[in-house]
Amino acid sequence: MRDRWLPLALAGALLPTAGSAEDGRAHEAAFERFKDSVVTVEVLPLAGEAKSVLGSGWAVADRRIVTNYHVVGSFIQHPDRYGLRVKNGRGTFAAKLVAFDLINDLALLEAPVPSAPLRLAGDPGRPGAPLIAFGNPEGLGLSLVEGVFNGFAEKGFIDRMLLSMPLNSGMSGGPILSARNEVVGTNVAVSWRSNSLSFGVPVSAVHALLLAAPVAATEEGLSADVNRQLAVLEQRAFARAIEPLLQGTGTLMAVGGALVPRPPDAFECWNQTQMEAREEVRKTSFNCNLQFTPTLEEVGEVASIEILVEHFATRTSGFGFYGGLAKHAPQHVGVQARPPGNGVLSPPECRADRVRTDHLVWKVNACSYAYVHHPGLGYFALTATSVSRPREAAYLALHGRGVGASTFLSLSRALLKEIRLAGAP
Amino acid sequence: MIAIRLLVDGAVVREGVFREGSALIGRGPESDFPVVDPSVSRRHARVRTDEVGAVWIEDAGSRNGLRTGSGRVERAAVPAGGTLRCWLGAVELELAVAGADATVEIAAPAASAHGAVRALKALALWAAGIAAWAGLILIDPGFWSPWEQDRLAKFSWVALTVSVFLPVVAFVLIGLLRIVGRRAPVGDALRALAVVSWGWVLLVLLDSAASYALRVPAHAMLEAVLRNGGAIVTIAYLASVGRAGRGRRFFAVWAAAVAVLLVGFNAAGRLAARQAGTPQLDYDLGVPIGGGTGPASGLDAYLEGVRADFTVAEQRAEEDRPTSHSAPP
Repeated sequence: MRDRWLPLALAGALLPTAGSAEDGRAHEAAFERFKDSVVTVEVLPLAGEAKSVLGSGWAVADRRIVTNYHVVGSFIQHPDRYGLRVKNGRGTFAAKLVAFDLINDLALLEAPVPSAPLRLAGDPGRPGAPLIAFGNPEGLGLSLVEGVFNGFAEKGFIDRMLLSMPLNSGMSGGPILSARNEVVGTNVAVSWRSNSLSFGVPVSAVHALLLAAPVAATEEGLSADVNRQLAVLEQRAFARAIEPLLQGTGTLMAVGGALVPRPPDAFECWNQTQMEAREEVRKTSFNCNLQFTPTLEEVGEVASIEILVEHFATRTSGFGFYGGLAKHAPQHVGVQARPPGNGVLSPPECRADRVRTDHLVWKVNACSYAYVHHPGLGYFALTATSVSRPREAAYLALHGRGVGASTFLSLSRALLKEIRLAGAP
Repeated sequence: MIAIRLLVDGAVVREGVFREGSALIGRGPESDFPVVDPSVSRRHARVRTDEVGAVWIEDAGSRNGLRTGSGRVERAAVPAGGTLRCWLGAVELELAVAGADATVEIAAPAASAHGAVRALKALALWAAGIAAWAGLILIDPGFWSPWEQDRLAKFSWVALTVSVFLPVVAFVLIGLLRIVGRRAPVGDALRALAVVSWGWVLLVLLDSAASYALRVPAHAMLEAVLRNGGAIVTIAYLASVGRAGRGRRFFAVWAAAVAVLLVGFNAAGRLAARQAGTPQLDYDLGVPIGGGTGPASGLDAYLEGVRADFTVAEQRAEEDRPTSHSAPP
């Protein structure tokens, strides 16, 4: 269920969607009070046909605006190709990037906007607390949305406020305010295909951002900063998503007839069993991924890990069973040709072999691609099919995007080493 | 007395008997024994008796030459009281020498009976070719997959396609051979295709067996050798169809030419894959019959290999990385 959540920046064309606002005298007062402190942030191409991006922001201090990293991501990648602009009811102003935090998805801008800074809360409050959020949905105009704070999302390794409120595209970067009119968070994403499930970045990340050293607004300077933050992110992904698996106390869970190490809590997992009656094959799937992983321009998601474990059992002959599995094996690989010089990823380097562990013999294929602009990080894809038993097989597909080789290989080792088939052969 | 017999598929269809002196064989009107065939020159060969009474056949300056079982020759002696088989281009002749008073028996052409036998033989060879292709399907594990929806339909479809395709290929082969002036009967073409098809069945079986016995990289190498070797032998063998002599040199030259071509194709393919950055994946699982899985490497060794692959990928990314931006003024 990758792509379940969606950043709220509005790129390119405007989409027709209704904004929402509740009536109420308190809201009228809030609207009046905050309308100048909430701004629209625009990333405009200086020339050519590059996309423009529209988001929201809020005044955190004198001349300082908070928005999302993903709103200004294209500027951070190519500061020479884009300009930043903020506007509110008082006018339109050129803006400058001061700092950014791609892990939490925040950016700090400087712009001479005449607006009163919003007050920051010490913490996001208690679950159940009523909230309001502001933003400029679809660029249609400042809108207020009402909702409830539900605590933090339990999955992923990045703290996200779980909100019951209908945020919309373009509201990215807008403030989330408590009943005491203090900022408790920043709009960041909605859950795709869900009903009014939205996410916010807790205010604590803003406190940290305000203390960050200003960045050099050159492509080299920003790129160095991105890579420095990616290294931190990678360590954190390793610590939260891989290390518990490595230090696992051997808790195994059943996936069909296979026993598999239970993935750490940071993963969101779901499973499924289906009996393909006509073909006499029982297939059980177990999928996991990390939620809220950041997305970089061009490269896509980073620190993203997906695990798929499947178990197959058939009553028919092993000869035909493995012939069919050979056709299944490529289905979840998802590696594709990457010609050299594409500017994003190196061409793939792949390796196929039979691999023996204590429990099984696997046929494994693994491909790695290195990121051109982010040394040390790569895209890895590994698929393995166990070939130890004639009528039963375990299948593993692992994907790591924007992770280091050690992270991915540790995960591969931890899973391949432990996966076994439960019953008698 | 010298008898010159024209053979078609080993059967005598015409005989000329000469008492003495010399007889000219060729396509031209001045020939004593005319043979009308595009592979035969106007003045192709001459049969003569020398001073001591030995009978010879000599090349009379033909384009396609005179061949006996030992290859192309300038002349060949006809054993006294015996026969000599030779080929003028694609035409087979038999020469016989007998005493002056002996009667030379003319073998009856028996054309009708021979035709029926030939048709039956061709049919059997056609069936053998189809059987080989049916075998190729049956030994493919994918055919027996529990996911395979309709085996009978798939099998029938392949059998039908091959039964049409084999004669078509045979006629294409015959046509190609005719262009180079070689006559190959349908039976020969079908036999060659059947032999080649069964050869591939053997290669596939060998390949499957090797996948158990060998490590994956070694098996991949062997597979390439088998595939290319099979292609080389197949093409050289088909090119030799209908040749009179069992020319080893002819076969070797063809095989060498095809090998050079294949090596070129493979190198070009590898280069193109590298240029396109195509992932090189191998999904062949083998079949764990009786729990046998073949030799395997250790997990750590494999993952270290993946790490080494990533190092290579990093080097290739490095080549793509802009070295440094010029400092702003």
